[in-house]
Amino acid sequence: MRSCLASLPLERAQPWLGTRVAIRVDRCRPGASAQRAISHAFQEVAQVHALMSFRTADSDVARLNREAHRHAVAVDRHTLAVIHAARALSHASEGAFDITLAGRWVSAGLLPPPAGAPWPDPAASFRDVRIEDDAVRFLRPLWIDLGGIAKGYAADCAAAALRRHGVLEGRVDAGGDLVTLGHGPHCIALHDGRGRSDTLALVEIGEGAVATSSNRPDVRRHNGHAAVAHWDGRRGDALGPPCSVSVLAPEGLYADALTKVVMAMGDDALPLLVRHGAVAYRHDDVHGWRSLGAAA
Amino acid sequence: MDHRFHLLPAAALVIAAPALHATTYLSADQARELMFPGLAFTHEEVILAPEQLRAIAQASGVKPFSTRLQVWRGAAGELFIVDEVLGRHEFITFALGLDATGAVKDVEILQYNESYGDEIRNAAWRAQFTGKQHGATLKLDKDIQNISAATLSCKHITEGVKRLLATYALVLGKPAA
Repeated sequence: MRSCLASLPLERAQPWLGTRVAIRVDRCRPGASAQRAISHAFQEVAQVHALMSFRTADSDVARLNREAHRHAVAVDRHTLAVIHAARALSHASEGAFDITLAGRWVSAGLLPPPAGAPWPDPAASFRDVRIEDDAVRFLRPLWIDLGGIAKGYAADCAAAALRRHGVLEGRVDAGGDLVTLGHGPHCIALHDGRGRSDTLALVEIGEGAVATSSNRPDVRRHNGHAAVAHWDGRRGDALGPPCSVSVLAPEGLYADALTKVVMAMGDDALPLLVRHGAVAYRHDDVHGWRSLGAAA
Repeated sequence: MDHRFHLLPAAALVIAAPALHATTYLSADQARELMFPGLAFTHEEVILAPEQLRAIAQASGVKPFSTRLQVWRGAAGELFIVDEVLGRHEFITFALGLDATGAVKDVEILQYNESYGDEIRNAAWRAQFTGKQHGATLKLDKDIQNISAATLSCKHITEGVKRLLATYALVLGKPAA
C-alpha cells in the first residue's frame, strides 16, 4: 500500500451510479494510506449503487417498486436515510421534488420498466410513501427512483470514509456532484451546460458540496436522451426553459436534490435553501448567472 | 454557506479548436496491483479472429472496438484486461479484473478523454480570462481540476464490461487448445 507521503495528489475513477465517480486525495495524516482511503470510499459508493439502483433487480429500490404497495419492505439504513430526506424535501417543496415520478421517466424512455412491478397508479405521489421503523410502504402501486438525490448522498458517504481513513484534503466527484474535504479553498468551475462560453463562473468553497443540474438540450443529447429528464412534480410536466442550476450546500445530498427544486421553483426555493444552509446559482441565456440565497 | 463567486469575462474570444481533454488516473500496473495485491501475472496480447468478434458481438450486443486485447493471467485463472471504449464524446481506457471463476472483481478507469467541459480544462481558453476579481487572485494557470456539471452518463463502460464478459465466456476463459 502506498503511504500518504508518496506522490499526492492521488486520484482514481470508477463507473458507478451510471456515471464516472472520481475520488482524489490531496493531503492526509502521517501514516495514513491514501490508496486504502480511496478504496474504502469507493466501497461506500458501490454500496449506495447496489442499494439504490433502479435497474438492478435485487436493490432496495427495485424491491420497493415490486412489493411495497402490498406490504412494508425492510430496507438498509442508507436507503432509509435517502428516502427520509427525499420525503422531507417533497413536503417542503410541495411536491416540486418528488421521487415517485419514475413511471413518467419509464414512459419517456429514460428508464427501463422494472421487472415484476405493477404499473404505477397515475395519481401516486410522495404522499403515498410511508416510513415505518426500518421499512417503507407505498399506499398504492408506484415506482420510486433516487437518481436525483443518491449521487449526492454517495459522495457524502465516500467523503466520510475518506475522513475516517485520515484524509485531510480531497474531493469526491460523483459525475459532477462534488463534495470537498478540508478548508481549501477549493476552486470549482460551474459548467453551465452550453458549449463554449464567453464567461467562466467559479466558486471557492471550504468543506462542502456543489451540485449542478441542467435541462439543456446539449446535455440530453450527450446522454442519448431525446426526452427531458427533469420534471416539476407539482404539475407533472417537464421543466423549461433551458437553464443550469448549481447549488452549494454543506452536504452533497442536499446540494444534489436542491438543484431540481431551484430549477422547478426559482426564487420560491429561497426558504428551502436557507433552511439547508445552501445557496444557488442559476444560468439561462437571457439573464446569465443569477444568485439565490447568496449575500449581495 | 461561506463561499466566493467569481464571474470572469473573457478579455478576447480567441478560442482554439476543441480538443479532447485526457485525465490519467492509474497505470495498468497500478490498477492490477490494487485489484490483485502481490499476485504474479503473465501478459499476453490476444488477437480475436473474425468469427470470434462476430460471436462476441452477438452474445453481448456490443461490437468489439479492437481486434487486439491486452490480457494478464494469474496462476489460478485470475484475469486482468485493459481495454478501451469509444463514445460520441469520450474515449475511455479501463481495466477489468476477473477472479478465477470469471466474476467481476473490480473496474477501474485508467484514462478518460472527454470533450464535454474541455474548454474549462483547456489552458489556452482559460488564459483569456483575467484572474483577478474582488481582490482575489485566482490561480487559473493551474489546471482547474474541479468542475461541477450536469451528470453525464458513462454507459459505454458498462457496455464495455458486458463485451469483455462475453469475450471471457467465449474466448479467454477456455483452456488453451
